[in-house]
Amino acid sequence: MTGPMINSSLDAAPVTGHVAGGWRGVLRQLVADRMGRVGLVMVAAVVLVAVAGPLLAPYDRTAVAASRTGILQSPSAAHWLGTDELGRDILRQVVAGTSVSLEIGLIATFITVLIGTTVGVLAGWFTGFVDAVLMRITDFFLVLPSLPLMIALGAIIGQSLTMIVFVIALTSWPSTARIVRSQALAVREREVVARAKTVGLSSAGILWRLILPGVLALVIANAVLVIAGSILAEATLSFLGLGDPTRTSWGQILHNAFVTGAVGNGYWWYFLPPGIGIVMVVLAFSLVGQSLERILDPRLAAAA
Amino acid sequence: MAQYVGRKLGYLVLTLAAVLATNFTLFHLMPGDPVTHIARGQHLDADAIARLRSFYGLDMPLPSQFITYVAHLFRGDFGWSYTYQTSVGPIVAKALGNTLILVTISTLLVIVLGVGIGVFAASRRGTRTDGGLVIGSLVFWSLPTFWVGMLLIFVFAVTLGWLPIAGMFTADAVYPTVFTKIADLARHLILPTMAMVLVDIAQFVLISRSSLLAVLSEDYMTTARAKGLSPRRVLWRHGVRNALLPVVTATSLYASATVGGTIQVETVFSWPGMGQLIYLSVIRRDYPIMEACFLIFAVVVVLANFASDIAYRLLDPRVRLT
Amino acid sequence: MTLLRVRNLSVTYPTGGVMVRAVDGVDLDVNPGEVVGLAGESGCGKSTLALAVARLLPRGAVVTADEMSLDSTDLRTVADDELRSLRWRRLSLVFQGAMSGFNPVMRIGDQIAEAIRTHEPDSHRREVADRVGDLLGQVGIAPARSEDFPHQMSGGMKQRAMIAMALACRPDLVIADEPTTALDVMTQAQILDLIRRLADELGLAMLIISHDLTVLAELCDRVAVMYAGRILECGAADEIFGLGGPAHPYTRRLLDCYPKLDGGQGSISGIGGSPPDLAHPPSGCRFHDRCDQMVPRCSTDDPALQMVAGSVSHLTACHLVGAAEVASR
Repeated sequence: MTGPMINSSLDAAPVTGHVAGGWRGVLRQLVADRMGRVGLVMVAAVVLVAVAGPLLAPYDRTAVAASRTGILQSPSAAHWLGTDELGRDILRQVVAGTSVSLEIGLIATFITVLIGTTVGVLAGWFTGFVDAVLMRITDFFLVLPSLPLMIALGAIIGQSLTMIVFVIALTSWPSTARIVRSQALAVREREVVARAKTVGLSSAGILWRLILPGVLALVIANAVLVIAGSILAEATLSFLGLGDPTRTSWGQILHNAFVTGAVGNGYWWYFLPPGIGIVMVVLAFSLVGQSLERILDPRLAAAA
Repeated sequence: MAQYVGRKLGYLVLTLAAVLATNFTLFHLMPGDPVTHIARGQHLDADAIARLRSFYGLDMPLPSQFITYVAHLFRGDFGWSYTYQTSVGPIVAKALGNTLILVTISTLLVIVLGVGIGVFAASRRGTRTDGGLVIGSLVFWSLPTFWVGMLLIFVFAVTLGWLPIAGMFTADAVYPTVFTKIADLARHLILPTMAMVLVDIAQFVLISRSSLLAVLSEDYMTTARAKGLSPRRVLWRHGVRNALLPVVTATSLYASATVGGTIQVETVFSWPGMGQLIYLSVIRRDYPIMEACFLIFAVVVVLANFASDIAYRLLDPRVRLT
Repeated sequence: MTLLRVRNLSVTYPTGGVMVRAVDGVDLDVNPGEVVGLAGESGCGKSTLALAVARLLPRGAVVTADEMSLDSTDLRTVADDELRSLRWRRLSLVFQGAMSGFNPVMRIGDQIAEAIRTHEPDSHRREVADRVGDLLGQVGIAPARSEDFPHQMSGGMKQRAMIAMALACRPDLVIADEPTTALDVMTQAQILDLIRRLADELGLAMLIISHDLTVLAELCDRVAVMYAGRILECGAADEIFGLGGPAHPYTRRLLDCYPKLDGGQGSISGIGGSPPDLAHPPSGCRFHDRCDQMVPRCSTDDPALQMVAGSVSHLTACHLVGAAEVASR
């Protein structure tokens, strides 16, 4: 189970967080970069399908086929992507899956980033004992292999999308925490902070007004990559049978396809489209995330 | 150096202890008392349930349960499987062997091919080949491992019929010699290995590429060329040798990713290893097996991290000894 | 018989879509046993010049010259394997050892030995080790330190080790690029002494590159001053720094940037403005927009190098020289 894409420089040395032209400048550079541009377009397309899909072509789980001839049909005019083992239209399932997969990815990412940023900022700001303790915990979670942990928790807690969101966040926050921590450490060393201290700004004030904005850029770049990883993680867990059978995520469709023997029997219309969907979405966010990282970290840009 | 190893060993022991504690907590404290699961379909009376609990040691206070658990582990007793109705140890041991065959070969391929392609891409920096390899790596990283497995089966086994669909050996096969057995194993290995390699290779390509690019712009590379060393020596002894350092760090993260990949690939290909074992244990709610699998996976990853730390120290003299 | 002869050398390389001319029509000579200095601000092209001569520029750089020869070898067209064979044996370089000039994961002694063994593959290990020890001793480092890794040495020691390594194959010409930058003043003085001593003892020819004119004034027999890819002034050191001082306004301003012991409080000044964009060089004299003695002609006509009146080898590229007397300080 791969987590968020490893920062390809692997150096703990942090980012300046300074981009010419602020956020609008970042956006401009993102569009100018081919990778970023393609990624943004793909993300926009995905969001469009996720939002418009359920409105234009809603999926009804209970719309099963009336007779045996309706099941596992290859693509036809009536069903562009054929039907599944219960005769349900696969195209609608895939479209519905867009919003489910995206929703889970976003929520899991939000929690991951929340926990990771909090831990990272606290560790980077307080240093010393607090830092050591937090980092020991973080390192421990990093060392535990994520998929077995998610499987174990899933089996114990029970199948539900809430559980999936929870276990993804639980296994993803450590790498975000590490990245945020090293950036927080760097921001802390900046003169601005020293001056703020002499002026008498409280710790909480400094944290909120200086440290947090200083790490924000990196957090966002990291968050985009975490979205990609979370969507992959949810797909994997659902495929392994830990998802909610009543919610149609792409992983869930693939699970159904697999247990129905779609691969062995060659029902390609069943397992190809959901997989392609996953690849598209994950790739889209990866492109944007990698491009953002390159823009925000000049060292990575030089090495590209 | 000895001091460094000693310190790392200390952390290793502490981490392993934490893993044991986590394992115990997960499977003994979480909701889902195993006896309830067993008793569910069997309409046992209170007495029988009490005896079952006693058999599984569930009526004792938690700390002593933990000590018993650890003591059993050290004796090699991993518990009793609900579904197989036999000791967990041998089942897991056999599965582990099968997994190791798959993992060893794919890891070797991933590292060798990944670094090789990454170095190649770096040497062709700025060209379309390089750009293509980077995009290609991003695309491959976005592929879910289990789906790649499904695709490979569909194309090579179902449609083309060149390779077996699933499993480690052909069912009910008779092997006149050891070589035919190995050949059959090899045929079954090809697709699962491909599935594991295709996705994980991307990380190594990207890391070795960017690492080498950063190294190539360092002054000591110019010094090496200025000394009149052969281009190959400059690239490998000075360039790659330094670029390897982040790659070694990556292998420790890779260990965790490999576990995930193993579980997915073995499930899709019905490969009788630890991955498939944990998958089946989820379906059957066989907690002792699940627990043993989790423990082994965690321990292996912790050990891999330890090895990677030591290897890093051997490669980079700048790492402080204390 | 000149050792290094460079005529009309130009180096262009692409940066962000534009072609930049880092070195523009430079002539340079180094005679056997002579120490020549090359001075200028950062970015003036002096390092590029050195790397171009040594054929060490990265791919993509375009090097053209009417002549570029080391003794009888034409450096422009020499084949790769012959080039590699003459490297270090006839031409070696000293980079900033205090920075990342050394491979961080290889022992210092091994890196020096590597140079020796590449060019003398039949030497015995013991013999090589002895030579490494001798070389280190020559620069004032205890031979036992050859087992050290770069991070275990101080900046000054690393620089000395770099020099030792450059001498390993007894070259004819050593090019030193900023050998004393990134070092504290005390260490700088030591390194300068060392370089002068070695040059005298071994009869080496050297090309020393530095932004610090005072360093070059001390060490060199001849000096050339570069600005925006061109040579503005060159000649024997005692002609440039002696008597009337430098002829070119830029050189005088450059010299004023460094404190003099007898100069009193106000003796340092900077040069206003910044070097020109080499992708779009200005018309006329490249220094004209920063020169305090500019006349209208300076912005239209590019001056050529001319002999300074009353000198033997002092050349300068300035319209004011040879015309009316240059205003004295």
